Amino acid sequence: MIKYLCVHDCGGIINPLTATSQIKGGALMGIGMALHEDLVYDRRSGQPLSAGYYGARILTHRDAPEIDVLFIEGNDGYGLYGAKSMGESSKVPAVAAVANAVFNATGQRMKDLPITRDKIVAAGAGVRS
Amino acid sequence: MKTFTNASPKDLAQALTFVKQAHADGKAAVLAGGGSDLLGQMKERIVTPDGLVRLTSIRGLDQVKEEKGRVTIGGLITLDALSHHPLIRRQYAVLAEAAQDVATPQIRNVATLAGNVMQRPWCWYYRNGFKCFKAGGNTCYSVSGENQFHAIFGGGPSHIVHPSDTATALVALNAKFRIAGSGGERVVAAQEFFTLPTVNAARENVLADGEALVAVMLPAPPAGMRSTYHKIMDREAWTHAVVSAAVVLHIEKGVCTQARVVLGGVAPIPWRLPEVEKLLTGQKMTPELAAKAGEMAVAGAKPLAKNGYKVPLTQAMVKRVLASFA
Repeated sequence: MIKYLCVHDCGGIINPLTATSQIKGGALMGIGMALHEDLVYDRRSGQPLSAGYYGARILTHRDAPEIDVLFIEGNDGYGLYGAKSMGESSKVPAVAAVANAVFNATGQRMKDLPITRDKIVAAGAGVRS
Repeated sequence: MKTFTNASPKDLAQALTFVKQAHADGKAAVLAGGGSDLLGQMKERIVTPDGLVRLTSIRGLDQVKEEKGRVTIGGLITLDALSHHPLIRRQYAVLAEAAQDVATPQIRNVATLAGNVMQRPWCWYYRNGFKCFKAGGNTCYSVSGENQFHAIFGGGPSHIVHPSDTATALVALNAKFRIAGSGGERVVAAQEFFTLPTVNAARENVLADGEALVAVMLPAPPAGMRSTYHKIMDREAWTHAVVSAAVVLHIEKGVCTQARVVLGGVAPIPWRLPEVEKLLTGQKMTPELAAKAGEMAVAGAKPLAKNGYKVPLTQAMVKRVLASFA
């Protein structure tokens, strides 16, 4: 993944630096969920096969794409300076956004996470030769 | 973790004696280099030796020496030192690149070349305590299980893939391994060092208990030798190869006079491609030749239920790596 853009309405932004970092953190979790992380079980015994830091394939720094964050600010009168909670809202659309990007690139709708190489090949997108 | 003793021998002879003594006492002792894989396995109780004999306390086993063009690399050299060594980078790029592609900087600072070559498989059945061939059992759970990362060549009865990047590069370089045991030393060609599961499903190589891989010997590189290592991973760092290729070509006046092409991540041993090597010999590299080599590379592949994607992936990788020499 080359670039990822987040656009959020969190009302009034009080500290843009920490707010941006928060959004980036959530986005990275979502990208990891979409592309890398999996909990694989052996079907016969039920034993997890991919437990642990190494097995779970969490994103490394080098996997993180360039993430741009834009805020649409406003004040609906409820929060201090119009601030709204942000939480990890950036994780929510991430999987769908990544899946749409994969569709845009390959023409294949992926409906099974994580969207790994073997699934893209199996879906008939093929390897460009 | 099971309680174990730790010995720091002053020289190799003492190290080998320690191991021999332990065996004579009915105890399991293993030689340890950096320990970056061994200690993890011990914490998970995948292996449970009674004693560790640390080779890193011995000086002089990590040197790179050149004599009449031939290079000897001490097995205890760290992957970081190996990948940055000017002679290795200049003359044996495939090995420097392979060493650099291993794991993470923290691991490369501790892990040794010999340890990387001797690395046990990362099959998630073996690593999660299933009693498979590699753990002294008599079955391979991947056959009818989760085999996304298992072998497409040479599998059976165990279907692991050899996990070592440096091993793939060393087979491509036609390296020789010097092995020391309490009975003396022997030299084994890299290609003969690694064994298919049909030879002994519990082991990946010919090293016997109580032996140490003390040095790797590389032939002098002729002037036109070019090499590279290409590793395809499912994330950008700290992961084993999904598939990889080590390519060493001797190119004179634009024509390839000798080729060695070895695949990683596809078989229980570094998988040499003799048909592809024959195809390339005497030819000028072109995109068309690279494409034909890619097709040939996967002829005869035997994928399992979930690793069929490795076949087009390997084909495209071989084509792309060879085309880079055009």
